[in-house]
Amino acid sequence: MNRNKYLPLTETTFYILTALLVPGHGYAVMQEVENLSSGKVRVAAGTMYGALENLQSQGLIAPVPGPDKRRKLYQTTSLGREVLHSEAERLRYLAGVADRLKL
Amino acid sequence: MIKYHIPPIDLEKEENWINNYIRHGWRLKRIRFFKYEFTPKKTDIPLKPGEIEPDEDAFLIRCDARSFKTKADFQEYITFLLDAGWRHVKGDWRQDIHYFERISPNASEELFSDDASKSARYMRQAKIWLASFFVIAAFSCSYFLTIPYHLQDLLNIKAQYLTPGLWEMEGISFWSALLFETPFALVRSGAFNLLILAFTLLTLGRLLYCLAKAYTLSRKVK
Repeated sequence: MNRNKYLPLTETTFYILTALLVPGHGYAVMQEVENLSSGKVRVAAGTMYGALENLQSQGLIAPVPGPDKRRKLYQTTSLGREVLHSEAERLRYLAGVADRLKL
Repeated sequence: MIKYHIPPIDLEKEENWINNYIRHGWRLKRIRFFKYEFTPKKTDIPLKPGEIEPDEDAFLIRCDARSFKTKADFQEYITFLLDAGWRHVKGDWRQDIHYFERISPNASEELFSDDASKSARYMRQAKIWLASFFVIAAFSCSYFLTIPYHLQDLLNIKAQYLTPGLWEMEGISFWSALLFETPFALVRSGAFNLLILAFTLLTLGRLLYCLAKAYTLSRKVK
């Protein structure tokens, strides 16, 4: 499996996958993305709905059973976690280069 | 206040048209076909279960184009938007343009925050037009194949009225006979064919417009 076809992740995708390491519904993800980014990334509702749909069709997140039928719960899949891990490695490497060169 | 208006192809223009009234102290109550009902901002519109008390400073209308496979998917979609501060005003679950009213000042002013998702909205709208284009095109093809038409008939509509002695009648009997036969005369003369053709081309035009919009926006995405 070629994980690199998913990389690099957009900032939004990175935050969504991170937020969904624990199960959450759509609106909770929106709030978590805002918290994780200290308010720098605000994803509008329609964009978030489409993003969750896309990530689900890519197999990076999947619905999980929840108590409320009207609010679907999602969670990052094992593929999603692998992709997140590769992205984190890539970012750490870049940050290392930036530090070394005192950028 | 009631306004009649044909929705433009571009959903952004539709949003602007409605939001202009909202800026002037109105609130969109409902839409039926081409009829838009506005009420003063202070008016309470009865809340549906789960809806929060709206904040009148927040009011804004934004549109989305979406089709759903099941009613449950649609329910899930409007529940998510309601959680995020958007009340569903209008839109059929199967395939439609959905109108949302912003009811929480915490919600962002846009429904789509990046060019990729704005482009995707035009793409979904194009898909809806494509579906209706197929229906209309199939209808107009079968129509053109089954009903013969000649262009010269269009120039002589009078000859398409076949009621004996129609043009010698007077008063009520003339008008009722004329009105009764007009639809048939239009079909015979081919005017109806032209109307269907125009409608087919209009739908194709709308489809192409949405595709062009989707394409230009997608090129902006890095």
